[in-house]
Amino acid sequence: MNIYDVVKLAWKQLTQRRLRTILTILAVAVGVMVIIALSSHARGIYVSFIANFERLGPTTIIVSSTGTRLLSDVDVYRVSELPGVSIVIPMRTLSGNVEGLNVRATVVGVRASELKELLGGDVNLLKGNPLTDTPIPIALIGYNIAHDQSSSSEVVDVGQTIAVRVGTRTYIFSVVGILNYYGSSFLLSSPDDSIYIPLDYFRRVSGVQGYSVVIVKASDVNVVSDVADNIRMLLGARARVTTVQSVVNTFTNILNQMNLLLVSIASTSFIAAGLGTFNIMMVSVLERVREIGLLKALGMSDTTVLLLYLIQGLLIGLIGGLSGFGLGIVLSQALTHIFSLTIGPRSPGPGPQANPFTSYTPVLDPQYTLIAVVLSLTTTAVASIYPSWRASKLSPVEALRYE
Amino acid sequence: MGDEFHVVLNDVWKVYRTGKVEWPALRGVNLVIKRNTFTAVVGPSGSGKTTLLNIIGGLDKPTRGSVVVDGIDITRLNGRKLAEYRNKYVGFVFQLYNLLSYLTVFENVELPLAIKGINFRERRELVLKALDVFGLRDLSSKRPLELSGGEQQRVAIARALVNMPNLILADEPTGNLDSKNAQVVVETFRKLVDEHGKTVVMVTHNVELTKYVDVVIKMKDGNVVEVINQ
Repeated sequence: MNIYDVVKLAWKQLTQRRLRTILTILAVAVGVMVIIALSSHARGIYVSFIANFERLGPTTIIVSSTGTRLLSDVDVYRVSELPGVSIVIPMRTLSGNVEGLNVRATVVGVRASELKELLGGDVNLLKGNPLTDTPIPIALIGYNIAHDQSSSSEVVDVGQTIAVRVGTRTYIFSVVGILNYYGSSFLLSSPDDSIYIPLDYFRRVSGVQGYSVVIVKASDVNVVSDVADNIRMLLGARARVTTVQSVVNTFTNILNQMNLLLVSIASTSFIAAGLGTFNIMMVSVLERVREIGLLKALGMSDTTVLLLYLIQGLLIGLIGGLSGFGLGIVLSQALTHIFSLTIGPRSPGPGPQANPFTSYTPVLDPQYTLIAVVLSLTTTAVASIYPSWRASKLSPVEALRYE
Repeated sequence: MGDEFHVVLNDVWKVYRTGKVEWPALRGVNLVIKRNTFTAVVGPSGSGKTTLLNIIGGLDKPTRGSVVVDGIDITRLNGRKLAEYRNKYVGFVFQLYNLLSYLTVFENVELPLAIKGINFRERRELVLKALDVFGLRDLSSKRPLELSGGEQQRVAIARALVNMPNLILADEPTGNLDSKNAQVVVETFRKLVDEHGKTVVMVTHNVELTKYVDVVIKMKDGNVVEVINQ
């Protein structure tokens, strides 16, 4: 009997008990669906995370002051003189509230010439003018400061003034420009929630000369680790030195472990799918004992009978795998929607999101997709082996006598 | 002898075992069935009629003895060869028709050809021919449960013949039919012998039907007790 005819007969047998077959297929599909949905979210987080760090660049080292003593101009100079250091961007940051808007913001004092590097190589203006180093109270504000979070409507325009309350003090700035949407940032505050002001002005009005953060760019990706070690030796316990690479590596490891754990948990659903398939195949064989006897009487060989039932298992796995794949994509999109409803809406504008649960788009993970589909086929094939073997070993005469 | 005799059974025993209990269904049967004859096997229940038919058809193996069909000692065949033998040399007709309910009449009749591995175009020709012989072409797309008992048995006979085997084995083929349909079936068998040169062996309880056959084999307690040539 040629394989096409065996598949056709297997399919007809499966469709004869439609509801039962659909339920078994669903059991397989659920496993695949969960794996695809979870892994695509994990992959989405990873891709979003990497994109954020790529904006900072792999040669970036973040030096933050620890305790109350800020980093001084001398510290910045000594760091800039270290071998392998290409750029040093000293900054002063403070957290505050924008009065009247009830929005949290990070005020970042930075030199206008260095803002471009800080924002990943480009100052992407939505409207207005770029920041200048003039020691007057001007500010370049982030997208989320200028726009209402829920309605996306503009609440602050260029030329207006904003008051930012930091602790007991209030600073007033004139808005010279509004930044386009950038998305979240993991190591530094997001540009969308930041107010950039001239560093010299910030130092003058705050009366503080030091820097809370210094961004260092190494000349080459291969020397990042050496430069970071040298900065640690130079500044000792006064500073925390973090390289983008080390954070990426740590995050990737954690994410891989989490992904593996989630997928392993999801994979246990295949045990249920396997048992379901085993059950349906056993019942199918028992129900069709007379029929198997007839097929043998008509000359079907034991091997073909074995194949007939194995193919039924494989068809369940294949259809379950494919439908699980489709359902997984739908579920991953639905989860994004559910997160945005329960945790908060997506921020307006394009690009990654500030909210950590809505700051990424699920990305199909080819590795886990393949694993899920292969698992569905293997599970149903393995679960079909014994029932198929039982069917193939039935004695035709006893099978025909079976009531 | 080989040419004249289609089926030759030599000292055939079949002993069933249930635990330690042995029950001989056939007790050293010696029998020859001539080519191109219509033979009826009659006898009370438990006399071994169906066991005899199953052994000739290669559905069951004897405990002892040899069964030669068309010159082949089928007791020496392995499982694969035996399946091939059932497909090529034998056509089975059962009391309960044994049609597959989820296949159409056409697909049921097509099944032995599909098992044989014949291509679809040739299959279609042979199936339509078989359906025409039994006046079933109009029913070809129907499912077995949509047919009457007589029609179902005609489909089963068409299926038994589609592979053009020389030996037809029918186990109580009229057992579920009324007398009119039973007569149609037996007349069909008669025609197959007379016009198509087939050998038909039919197990029956219905003594009435023996008037259509050439040979009546009477069995009792696993033995052939009488062979009547008519």
